[in-house]
Amino acid sequence: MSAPSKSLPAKIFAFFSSFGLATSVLVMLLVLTFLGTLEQAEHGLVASQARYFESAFIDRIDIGACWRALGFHAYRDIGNVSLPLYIVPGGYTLMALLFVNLLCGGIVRIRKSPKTIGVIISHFAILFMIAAGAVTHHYAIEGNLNLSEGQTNDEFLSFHDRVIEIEKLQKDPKAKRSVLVIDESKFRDVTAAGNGRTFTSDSLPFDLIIAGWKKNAQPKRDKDGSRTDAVDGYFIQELPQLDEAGAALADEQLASACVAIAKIKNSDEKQTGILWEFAAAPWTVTVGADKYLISLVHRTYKLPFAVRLDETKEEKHPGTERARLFSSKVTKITGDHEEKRFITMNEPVRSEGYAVFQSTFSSGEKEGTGVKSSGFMIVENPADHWPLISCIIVAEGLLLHFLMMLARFIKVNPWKFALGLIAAFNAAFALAMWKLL
Amino acid sequence: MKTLRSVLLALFTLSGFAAAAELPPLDLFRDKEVVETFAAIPLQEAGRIKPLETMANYRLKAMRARESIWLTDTGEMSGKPLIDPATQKPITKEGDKPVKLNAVEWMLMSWFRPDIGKMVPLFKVDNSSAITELGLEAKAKRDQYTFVEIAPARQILMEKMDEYRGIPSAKQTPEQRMIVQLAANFLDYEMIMGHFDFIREPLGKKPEDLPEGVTLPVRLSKSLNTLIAAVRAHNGPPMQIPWFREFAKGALGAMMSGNPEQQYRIFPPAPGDGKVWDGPGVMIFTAINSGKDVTADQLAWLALYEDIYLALPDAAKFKAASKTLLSKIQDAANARGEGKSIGLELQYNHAAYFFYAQWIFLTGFLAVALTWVSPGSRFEKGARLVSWLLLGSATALAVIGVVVRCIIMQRPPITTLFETILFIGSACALLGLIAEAITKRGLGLLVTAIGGTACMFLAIQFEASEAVDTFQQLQAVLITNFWLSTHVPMINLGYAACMVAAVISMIYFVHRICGAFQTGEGDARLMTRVAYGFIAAGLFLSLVGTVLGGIWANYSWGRFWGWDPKENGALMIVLMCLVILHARLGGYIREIGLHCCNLILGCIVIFSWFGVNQLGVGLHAYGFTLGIWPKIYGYWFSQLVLLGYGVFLALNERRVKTLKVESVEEAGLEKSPSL
Repeated sequence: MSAPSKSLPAKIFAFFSSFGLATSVLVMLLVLTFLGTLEQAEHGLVASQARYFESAFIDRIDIGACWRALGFHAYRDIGNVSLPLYIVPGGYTLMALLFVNLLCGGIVRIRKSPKTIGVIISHFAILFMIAAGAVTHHYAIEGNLNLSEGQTNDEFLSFHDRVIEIEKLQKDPKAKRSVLVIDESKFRDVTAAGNGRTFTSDSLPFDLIIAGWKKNAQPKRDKDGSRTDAVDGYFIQELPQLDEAGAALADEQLASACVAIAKIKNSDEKQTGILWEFAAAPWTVTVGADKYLISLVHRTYKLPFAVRLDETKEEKHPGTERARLFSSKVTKITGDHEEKRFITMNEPVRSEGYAVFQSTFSSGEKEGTGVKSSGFMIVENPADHWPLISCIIVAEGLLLHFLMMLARFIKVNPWKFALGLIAAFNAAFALAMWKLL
Repeated sequence: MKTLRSVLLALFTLSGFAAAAELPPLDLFRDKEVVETFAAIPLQEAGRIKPLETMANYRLKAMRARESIWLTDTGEMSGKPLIDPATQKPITKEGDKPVKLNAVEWMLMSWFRPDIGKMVPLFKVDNSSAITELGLEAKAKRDQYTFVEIAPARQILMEKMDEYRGIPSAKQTPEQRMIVQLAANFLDYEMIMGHFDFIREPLGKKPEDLPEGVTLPVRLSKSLNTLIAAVRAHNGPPMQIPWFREFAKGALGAMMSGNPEQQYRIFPPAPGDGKVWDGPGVMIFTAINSGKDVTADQLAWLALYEDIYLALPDAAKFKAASKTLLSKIQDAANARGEGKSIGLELQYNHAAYFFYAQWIFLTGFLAVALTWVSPGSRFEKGARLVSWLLLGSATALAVIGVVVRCIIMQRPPITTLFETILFIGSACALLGLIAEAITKRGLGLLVTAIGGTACMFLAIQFEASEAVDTFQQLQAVLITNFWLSTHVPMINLGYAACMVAAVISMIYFVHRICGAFQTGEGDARLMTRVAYGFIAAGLFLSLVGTVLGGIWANYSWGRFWGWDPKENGALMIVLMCLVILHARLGGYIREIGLHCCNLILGCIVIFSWFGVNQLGVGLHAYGFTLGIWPKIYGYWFSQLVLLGYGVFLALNERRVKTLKVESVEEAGLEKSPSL
């Protein structure tokens, strides 16, 4: 006797809640984690993260880079081999699928019994963790604030997000600044030197055309005047994104550049310049009596308070150059209110939704200034504590499930055995926190 | 100062040694009392206080990959004893047997009898092409060379070292790497042999133009400030002063290393006078560069140190001076609250926990093998009891070793790649014993024997190849005992549980190859259940450990997950465990499939444990070890072979099953439920 055929919604639900989907998604996540890890050696963390872990679909796999990362080139060099792909899901899609699968299969469809309670708890915690990841991915901001001793600032720069900023030069230096921003994602595919992409705004007297964007480059003098893409005697020279040893340069070491053309509205007039991340000053566009400053920079975020670095110090392991401790005394300034705070490694300062972490230290010797400075990482993440909550829940759930399995294997009372050991585990962890944290 | 040292390093050549008649007998430096005294001298190196014995061990290991050396023409026991230049007699002990020196004895011989030191085959060269490139005559492909044999190529060795150091290590050829290593070892040994030059002849054999008040024989404890004042008063480069070159050269030898972190520092400052210890070489160079006079306290230390050398060749005076120096240093260190672990570290060095554990694990493995000879007999029971005792003792020894290391460094057990091997080895052995206590079928004992032997062997090989002190000071961000005692052990226990699962699957396939059982039989089912249990434990430990690492990162430097290679490696382990558990629950894999997946899990653990460090990127990029990829390929290949066999086995069983069903259907019978 055949089973009654399922309705379409039931079939869809069965598919999304199946072990088959769970296994397939997990295998795909495993493979792309492996490939994304290997590619980091040549493409760097940020590029691999974008391609494999944050993308909806993966556009290609750099087989050559993976081959070299595994050291196989010592036996046979296969050169630059790429496998173009268009329909292979990326990390973002897979995590979304896993979320749906967990919800349907691991929470709704799963048999509810004392035997599965630990699994259900764990599934719930993982759902929560994926949600935390999504919230962090979409809403968290992070960046860097460098301060020399005595210096105060209430803005910090994003680590990886670049933008083009357009600011009208104010006659009154005290006037409120107003900046138009074009996100890098809007122009980073305009790599050809041709027509470029036009950006327009009613508040600007010109349209801005961006062309010839390069991830790592520097302006170079066109000595013999032979370059057709030269601007005021300079052209954009692309630089390698690998160091001498063939390893990818960190994203912070890369300096992007592009050609910008300001086309004055209702006129044929054009002004052309080069935007470069490491430029000492912005490119200036003059329209009538007004001046506009245009620069390619890391995105700037404003803090609800200012931070002043009062004192910073570094301790080294005796007789070595290895750092043992970085710490900073800072003042948090909100309006007229000042508050003294202390930041050190592993002990950030948290305030008004922001966390300020001690990240780097400079004695000023390298820069030749002799002024000590600190680099702070600043993070605002609405899901800041969610992983901790999720970790506690998943640990309790898995412990309960696996200890009950073990108890059944060794033929003892599952509940007594599992709960007793969970209590001991929690007590040990609490003791470690109390004694060591 | 750096430039001065570089110039001197280039110019450094060994001074003439003392006349043969003045040379102390070698036996004095093998005297138990002398060796114990020197071994216990506390010194500061690489940011921590350690006994001189530890320093000597690693210096010898860096040159020779061992902690001892034979005084023969080959450096091995089988070689011909060396001839003592002072007596012109073979260096032998009772019964005309060749003499073997431990690291402290070797260091003392190099200091006080450099005439013998330069004849000892000390420098291990793994690639004879490097020797040929230096224009020297190569011996075997892998051989050992004396200082005297390398010395003629000193100039070319230095030039090539300068050239090859500019090449990133990943791009260096094996020959270039060998030359850079040989040059560093050669220079270090040159300094070790010249260590007492600053007392022997601080200004050379016949110094000219001595400052007023300095008389021969020159003693720096009395004349250092006068000499420094003369250097300061000199108009022009100090190298123009006739005696300065020898003076600076002696100071360089007194430092004993070109590496600033390994400079010889044995004089503790007074309590409250900073954290950095002083040493004879550092003292002289600091005085030259700082323009400040050396203090009376510092000169008193120098005088104590001079007393040792000047006491020679009188053995009684030498012993007394050495003991006085030791007790003064110990007292000064105690007054500062330092050096409390010296005694324990000496005990740790001598106990050689992991070396003995390795051999007991191996013997335990043989005892386990004996249980297979006559299953069910009293012999088997006896062999199993012996296995328990041996493997239990070896595990206890390994665990004690790990605990002693924690006490010495006053921190949790894992901070370096070397320590992960010790910890995972001990954990594998312990988990195997726990499994044996539950199942009582010999499987756990076998896992303990394999895991323990492999990890102890690996740890010993790793330590010899790295040849650096395994007690390392931590980077600032890692100095937090809470996270080091929760996240790190948990992750490593996860590695251990997954490796145990992989080892069980290896054992399963070896049994299948030997035809020990068929799918679904008693032992096969037991192995599958135990392996499944370890995957579950591995998932729990890896998942919670990985998330704890993320939480540490989030609370300490602001990001939960950074897709760093090491993090990804841990994630891959978690994902593979989840794949296995879900595929098993979904019915996609059964017994053979589970064991095949376990082999892949083992390969992922090895990649996460060692492989990701080789990528050279990420915040966790510690423990880069040259030449580790071939070893990883070896492991992967062996697993691939077993995996191939597993796939063959699964396909074959499916084919047989299909044939059985077909034959039943052809016979016109209904399928029985048991099929």
